[in-house]
This record gives sequence, structure tokens and C-alpha cells, in this order.
Amino acid sequence: MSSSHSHHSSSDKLRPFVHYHCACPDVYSSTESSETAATCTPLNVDSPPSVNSPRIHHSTFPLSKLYICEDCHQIRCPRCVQEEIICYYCPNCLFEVPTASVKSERNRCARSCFQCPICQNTLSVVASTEPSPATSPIQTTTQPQPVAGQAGGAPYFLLCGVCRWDSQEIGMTNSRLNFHYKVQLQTTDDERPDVKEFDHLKEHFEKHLRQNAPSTTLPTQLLNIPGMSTFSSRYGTSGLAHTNQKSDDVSPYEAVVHVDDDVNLTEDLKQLKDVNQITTFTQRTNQLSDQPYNIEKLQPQRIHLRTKRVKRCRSCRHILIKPEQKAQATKFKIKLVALNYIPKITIAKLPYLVVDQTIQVILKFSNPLLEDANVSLSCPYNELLEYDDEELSTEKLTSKRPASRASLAPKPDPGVVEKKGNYTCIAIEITPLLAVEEFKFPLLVTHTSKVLDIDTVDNNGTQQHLAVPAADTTPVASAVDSVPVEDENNTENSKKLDSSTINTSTNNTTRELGSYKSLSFWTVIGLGPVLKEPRNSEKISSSSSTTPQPTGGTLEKSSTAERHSKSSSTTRPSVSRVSSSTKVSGSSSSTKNSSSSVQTAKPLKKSAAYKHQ
Amino acid sequence: MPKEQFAIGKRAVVCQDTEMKGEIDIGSGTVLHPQCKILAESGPIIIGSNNIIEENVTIINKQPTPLIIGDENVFEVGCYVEGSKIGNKNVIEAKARILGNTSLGDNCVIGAVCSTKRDEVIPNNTVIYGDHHNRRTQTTCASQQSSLHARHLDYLREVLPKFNHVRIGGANTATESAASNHPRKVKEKEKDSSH
Repeated sequence: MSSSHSHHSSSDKLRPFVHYHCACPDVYSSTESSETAATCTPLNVDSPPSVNSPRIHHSTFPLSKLYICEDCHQIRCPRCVQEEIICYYCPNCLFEVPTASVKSERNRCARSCFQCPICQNTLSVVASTEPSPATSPIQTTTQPQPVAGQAGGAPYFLLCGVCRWDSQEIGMTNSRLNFHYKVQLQTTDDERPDVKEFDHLKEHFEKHLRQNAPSTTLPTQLLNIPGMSTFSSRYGTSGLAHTNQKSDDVSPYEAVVHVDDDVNLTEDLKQLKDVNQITTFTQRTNQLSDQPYNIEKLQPQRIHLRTKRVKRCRSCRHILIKPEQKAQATKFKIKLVALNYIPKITIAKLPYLVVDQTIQVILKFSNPLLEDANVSLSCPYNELLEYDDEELSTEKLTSKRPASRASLAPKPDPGVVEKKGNYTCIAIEITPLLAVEEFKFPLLVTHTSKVLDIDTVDNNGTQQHLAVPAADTTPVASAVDSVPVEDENNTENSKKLDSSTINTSTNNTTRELGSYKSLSFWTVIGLGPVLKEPRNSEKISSSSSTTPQPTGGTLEKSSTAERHSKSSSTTRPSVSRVSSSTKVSGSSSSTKNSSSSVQTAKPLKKSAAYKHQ
Repeated sequence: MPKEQFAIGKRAVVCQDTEMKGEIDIGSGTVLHPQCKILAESGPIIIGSNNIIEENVTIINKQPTPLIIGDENVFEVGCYVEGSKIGNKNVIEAKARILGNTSLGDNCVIGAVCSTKRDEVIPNNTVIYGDHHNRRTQTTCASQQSSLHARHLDYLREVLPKFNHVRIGGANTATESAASNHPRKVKEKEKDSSH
């Protein structure tokens, strides 16, 4: 679905997305209170993430990047985990490099693993002479073919299979199969003037440092940090003035090597006509030591080592991710990724957004758990929509389903468009008020799942929702004002939502049973750009992309009904709504009743919002 | 409608599942895998000797002038070749595209999923590679390439007829070997069905 807008969105940023907000404990210390069960009711949860602030990109992530801490029962993002390296290895030869030798080998593979200086792909070692005399190729076919590079003769060279660069171009060949970097690269490294100069400089100052270096002030690990020994010698044990005086004693340094000015180079660059004659930025940064502009000076670089890391929760230090220690093994010993615990939210249907047009966005909630889950949603823009989301993720468990369904049958499912397998689709109505480049809104998701599989689903929860008193809406309406969407953009990009809460006090009661776990988190949903005028293709796309359900008619009906009910306030353009639409497939009278009551509730809300404005 | 005329050289292996249209000349020793398309829509297509044309390759000539392909080229799986002239010893990698009236020199490599511009002349030894269709000139190691190519060809000439019907008019030796190996093919089929 995300591709539907891609043809007129200028960058990937404007693609529709569903990102999850992580309330990192170290960044937002106040949000920790949301962990407690008491604050799990949506209205009490801390204020929503400010959708339009630039910081939002640093605190929201796609679901695939998130972890979950079972002990804290919180989402953990890459910002709030601690990483420990457990293994260094070469991605090419999969050799595990002992930690002790990583530093001396400069974080690169010490075997014959090289990357192409031109295109940074892995180079392979090739024999330049033919392995066997291929005079009569017909006869050799029946015999096993010698693999090039293994049975061939010397000299060997490196060849890139992608850009066909080979090391013969820079005269780099080897008589043995194993290219050793010390032979091939290091020697040239040490001869370079700047390296020489640095060595000399180090020697010069080390003499001095040794004299007044405090031996015991810092632990040895710290002394290994470049510059730290200087630091300690200056400000460590003795007084400042004293050391400063001493540092003045340094004899003046004279350079041994004189590096030529870059006049020639700049002249050459001025003459440049074809950009392909010099190295690219990537190529230069891959050869950090000299960063040549001349393509002939590029050399193959040893491949960077990779690491395997353990990730821990920062609050409780429990391990979230633990890979196998061996480089060859791709499995994880511990893998607590959020994808396996919290519902995956995807945008299942997204028509074009046009100013002052109410559209329906279908959000699909997929439950990764084997147990049923209850999801309730709320939006800060006057929105409070809850629905019950009974999901079973595997077919094996479908036999259990009728029981739980039966007990839940009286409950209406507002806005639920489709329910199948382990997912439920709900509809959200949105009326954008201004044409903006990216339409975003926060959504608070409260996810409750069973810990134990208990058949007795609490059904006593009477529906406390529908009569959400007007008093309840007022604070929400005021929350709309505080949302920085309007302030920052001056766009009045506000979404005013009619609360249509259905169901359910079950949340509270079941929590008391202790068999349910509840987790609230904010998501930020981006729906791409809002258009000023309807596009020609809009009708086609929206009608073709609707889910082919027999429910379309009902959807239509419900929306028209709403239109009727709100006809009094339609002239007011500043109010946009995100509201759940009526349940589609339900045929029972109770459903109808509830949905109509939802709608009756709307004008009430609207007037409240109206007043506020 | 151009006339249908196929000339297939000696020792060439042309599988029967190929789609061929128009006036086509296939040189000696060239191997055509099944499911490749040679479409001479207006002008003829003249393919030299010892080329390898793999599955799902489309070679199409929309111009009235002939499309001449040299010797020892490799057209890898799914590539699309329009062009006006292809030299010798080129490698057109998987899903690469040669567009418009382009003419290709010798010893070029069009990398996987790369494409040429329309109507350009690509000099010898050009390599097009990577996401951004970068270009560079390669230094040749021709001897190695050609011996590898020869082995590749020999393998294909031996293996392809065992599992595919080969067009009559191609290499006589090839058809014979296909006939002699036919029982084996049947056996293979039985194996498949028993699974």
C-alpha cells in the first residue's frame, strides 16, 4: 500500500509509515510512570509525542528495530539498549579474530580478504596463468574442472567480480595464493611522509612525557586512550602551575619530512574536465591514510571486521539480544524483539488525502502472539476509540475461538472492518484541514494480552463508554490546542476526533485477575501528503483499492448516516475528525444499536469541540 | 512481414523452446538455452560463433538494418538486447539492458541490472557496473576469459541436449546425442513424477 503514493512523493520520508514511539527512560524520565497499571487508561498517559518536532525522528522507530524487555514490560529502542561486543569476525572468511589482536590489526581482517578500491566489493584471488593447458577443451569437459585460483599458477592477483578491477593494474601480484597485507600494503604505508612525520613527532614528545608522567594516577586502560596520558600528566597529580611550567620546557620541534604543497594537485583539479578521472568521495574515504585523488593510487583495503553484540536493557540490565558466539552461527540464544510481542500495525488502505474530505484509513493490527490480545486505541485529538481485538494467530487454536467469541458476542466492534486469522482491520476517519506535505498523527495503543490462557473471559464489563460525559471531552479538546501541530505549522492541521468509545471495562477487571499484561505505547502514523484538490485518479484508486468485501455498502451507509447527523456543523471547516466507523460485518441488532449510539454521541462531542474553538 | 528464415551453423545448440522470429543467422558453436527470444522484427539478426545465450534473454532488432553480434559473447539470464552492433567477447550480465541503437565494442561488461543509454557507442573494454551504472575501462585478461568461455561452451554442448529437445538443422552431432540420451531423459521424468 505504501507504494500508492510513491509516484508523487518526492522522497522516502513522505511515504506512509507506522512508527512506534519509545519512551526511553533516560530521555523522558517522566514517562516511566506509564508503566504502572494505574496510568494505563489512555487519557492518563503522558502527553503524546509532538508529531511535528524534529526530534520525533529520533524517538520513533519502525517495529522491526525495536526490542522488548520482559522484566520492565516496556519497548526498548536502539537508543535505550546497551551493547557489548562478544565477537569480532571477518564477514568474508568468517574467521573470529581474538579481541586481543583486533586493535593491532586495525579492525581489519588479517587474512587475504580485500575489498575493491573502486567499488568496495570483495575481491577474489585469481591465478594469472591457466591451471591446465586448455588445448583440447573437449576432452577436459568430462574431467572435474579445476577451480580457477586454486590449481592455477603464479603469479596471483586480486580481481573484483563487479567492476572487473584487478590488482595487476597497480602492479600488485603475489607468488603465493595467500595475499598478506603486511607484504602488500603495510610497507607502503610506513614509507609515507606523514606517517614518518607523526612517528617523529611522537618520539619527540614522548621523551618529555616520560619525564613527568605520573605512573599511578590513572588505571592502565585509561592510559591506552589516545591523549589521556597527556591529560593526566598535565592535570593529574601535581598542581597546574607546576606542570604548565614543565611543559614549557619542551624543546622546539623541527620537522624532518617536508610534505609538498598541494599546488600541483589543485592545478590538476582545476584542469579537470571529466569527473571520472578522479576518485570518488567514497573511494577516498575508504583509503583514509592518504585519500588520493589519483585513481592509480587507490589500493585494495583489508575488509573491516564485523561484530556480534549482546544487547541489554538499560534499566534492568537484562539481556534482550544474545547471538551465538561463533561467527558461522546465525541463530540467537536470546532474541526479544518487539515484533514477536506487540501487534504489528500496517496501513491496509489509504486513499488520497484531500483537504476537507473525509476519508477512511484502514489500519491492520496483526497479533504475533498465540493468545488473544485486546487492543484499544486513542488519539489525543479528542479521540477515544477503543475496540476489542480478539485474535488468534494460529489455526490450531481456532477451535478455542468460539468459546471466547461467544462470551464476547454481545460486545459491538466499532470500526472493525475485517477480522481474519490473526489480524483485525479497523477503519479510521480522517478529515485533513490543510494541505501539508506529510500528514501525521499520534495514536496511543494499549495492548493487553493474556499471560495464562484462561477461558473465562470477563464479560461483566458493562459499557461505560458511550455516555462519555461531555466533561470528558472538554479536557481532550483542550489537548488539541496544546498539540504543537497547529502552533508550529500554523496549518491547523489538527484532527479533531469524535470519541466513539465502545466497550470496555474489561481491561480493568481483567488486570485485576492478574492473567493479563497491558502495555501502552504511542505510535506515530504518517499518511503522506495532503492534496489541495482531488486528483483525477483519486476516484479510481480509492475504489479499486478498497478491500473487496461485501461490507462496502455498509461502510457507505454509515458514513452517510454520519453526514446526516453532523449536517449542522459541516460548514465549519476547521474541525476534522478521526473516528471509528461502524462495524461492518456485524448483523446483530446490538451492533447497530451501539453504532447508532456512537453516532448520536458525535454531535454532542462536536458541539463541545465547537464551543472550544 | 519479414520472411521467416533460420540459418543455424555447425555445432550450434539451439533448444526447441526458443522463440525465433524473422530472419536469423546463428553462427557455428553458438548455444541457445531454452526460453530465449530472438526477434528479428524488421531487419535480420546475425549472431556470430560461440556465443552463449541463456534463458529469458531477449534479442530484438526493431531497425531495418541488421543487428550483428560478434563471437564469444555471453548473454546472461534475462538480459535485453536491442542495439545495432555487438562486438566480440562481451558479457551482458543478468537483467542488463542494451537500449535503442547502441553499439557495443569488444570485451565489454554490462553488469547485472545495468543498462546503457539509448543510441550510444560504447568503446572497447568498458565495464558498466553498480547501482549508478558507473563506467570504467578494464584492463584485459583475455586469455583467461576465453579459456573459461570455451569450457563453459563445452559443458553446455554436452549437458543441454540431454535435457532439452534441440532444433533440427542445428548441429547433427547435437541431435544425435539428444536422441541417444533420450531414455535418460525419460528416466529423469519418472523420477520427478515419483517424488
